[in-house]
Amino acid sequence: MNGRCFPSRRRVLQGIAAVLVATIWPEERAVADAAALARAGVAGYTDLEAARQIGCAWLSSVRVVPTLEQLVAELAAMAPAWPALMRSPHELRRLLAERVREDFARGSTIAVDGWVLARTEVVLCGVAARTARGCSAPEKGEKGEA
Amino acid sequence: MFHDARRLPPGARLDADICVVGAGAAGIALTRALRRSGLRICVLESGGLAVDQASQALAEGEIGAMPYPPLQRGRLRCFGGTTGHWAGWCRPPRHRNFLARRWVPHSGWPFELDALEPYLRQAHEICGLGPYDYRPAAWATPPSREPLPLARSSLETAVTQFSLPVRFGEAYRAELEGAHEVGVWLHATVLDFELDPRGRRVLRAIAAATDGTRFTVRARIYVLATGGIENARLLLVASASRPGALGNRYDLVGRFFMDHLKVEVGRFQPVDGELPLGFYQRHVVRGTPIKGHLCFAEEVLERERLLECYFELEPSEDGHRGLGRSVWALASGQPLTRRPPVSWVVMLRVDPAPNPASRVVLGEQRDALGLPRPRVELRYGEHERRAVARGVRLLAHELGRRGLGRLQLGPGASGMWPPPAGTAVITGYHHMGTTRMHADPRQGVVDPTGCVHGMRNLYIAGSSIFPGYEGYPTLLIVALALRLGAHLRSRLA
Repeated sequence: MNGRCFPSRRRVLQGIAAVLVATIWPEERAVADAAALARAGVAGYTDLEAARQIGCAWLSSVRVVPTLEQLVAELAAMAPAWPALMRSPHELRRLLAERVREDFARGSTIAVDGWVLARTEVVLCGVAARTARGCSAPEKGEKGEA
Repeated sequence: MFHDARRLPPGARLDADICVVGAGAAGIALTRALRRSGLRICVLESGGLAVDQASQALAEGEIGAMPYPPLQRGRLRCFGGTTGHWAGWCRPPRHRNFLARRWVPHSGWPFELDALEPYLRQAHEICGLGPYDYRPAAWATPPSREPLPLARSSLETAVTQFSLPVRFGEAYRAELEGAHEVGVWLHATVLDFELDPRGRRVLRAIAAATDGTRFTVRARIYVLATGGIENARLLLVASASRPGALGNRYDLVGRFFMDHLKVEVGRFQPVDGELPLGFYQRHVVRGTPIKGHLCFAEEVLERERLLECYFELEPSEDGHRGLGRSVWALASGQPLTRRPPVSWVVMLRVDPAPNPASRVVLGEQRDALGLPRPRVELRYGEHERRAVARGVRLLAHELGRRGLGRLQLGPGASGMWPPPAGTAVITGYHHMGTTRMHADPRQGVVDPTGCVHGMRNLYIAGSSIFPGYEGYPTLLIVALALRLGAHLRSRLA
């Protein structure tokens, strides 16, 4: 992991937990800055800048650009048991790696600039892009069908 | 003995038991197999001992609407034939390729591969290859050059051996020169055949020296061994004035022309720089050059209804363009600041399906001897397009699933033909299928022995009789020539 500016593992886990809890049980927990927390969650899995670059490329290429809320909801839907798993960074990474393998096994992939990537990792990258400055993808709105 | 047909007097007649037309891999292997049988063999070779301009000009032809390399580039008219520029790639066919696949029309051979096994082993020696062993593990040299661990995978590793390569013209010239029962006539091009009134037996081969001097050859058996395009061309020329004769009763001669397409389909970025991909580059193991390929397990090909796909990997010189570095960081969990391992260009070779619309016909131009030049109308269909498009994606999925890396699809991954501009494409100069073998004369030009349907003494040797595509044909060409030699020895004994 790039250690220049990334949050601590504790912060990462807190971030993911907050985002997911806010998504799954929005009425139970208010999240002041969901975007920043989601970004922290992605950083627990991969290099944030790499994810941002891939995410920007993806969001610039799709015809219907998903919102941050949609992306986070998709992540949450992929792993309903996350709240329990998030106590361990090791478990988080293992879970995501497993999801990525499953995506490839069933052909659930997305091509970004020709790179065939697992849907899970692309969604993670989308979250990173959505929460970063400097991504040229539109904030919200339709460019056509996906 | 070697002779020069240009020194024959006009109207000369040569006599032999067997007339072999063409001295390439098939013709030379067959002639060697027929030696010491008490049979007199006359070999007619259109070129000389080395390539010369006049003979090579006879190899020119026309190309149809689909792109294809100039015909004289892929064929050599000289003693030894196209083995003179053969790259030496060899691998025995897979068993499944000899079986009919219900979803591939016209697929399957009229016998099982096992019947060829002894001939393939002999052919292996003739082609100057290493041990007859194609198990990837037998060629592993850990730690840097070993097959990828692909247990319980949709992928397998296949091994290709390389001949040095053996130039048949150089390797077997002395043997045939010293064989008293063999007469090799150089600069001798067959133009036509004289048939009996019923059109079932060849009475004479009508030939010309490069300078145009005509002469004839009378033999008990005639074998065409002039290559995948020329065999069909000669039958088409000879049957043009005799509709339905010479194996063309059902308009099959020239059809089912096949050559493979090898297309750059993308770039592979390994997660781990220690991944032992050196096995998939050409290297030498115990004196034998080999190379590994990735291909799909048979059950995957059947389930997906895919034609045979072979993936080759070559280190990329382009570095990590675009998102490559980011993708590596994502897949590996490493920081973007670190340097990713080298990426690899992925080439995909698809073995085409038999297609009657893909064919060799007679062109409008004529060569120096007055024969119509061949015209190649290569066609690929939905099977080939799908094999490329689906095959490369299955590869990407499996490499990702196993955590080996990520694959970037290139423009060639669409499977469209011709591929987009800028896509690296290689054909094999592997001309096959134009006088295909089948037990039913309605589906093949030659019967399972290689005899032209409806003819009693005209046989064909070489890749034109392959009813299905075989990636590296030379080994199989030689094996089938040895098999034909055994058949003819038995028949004429």
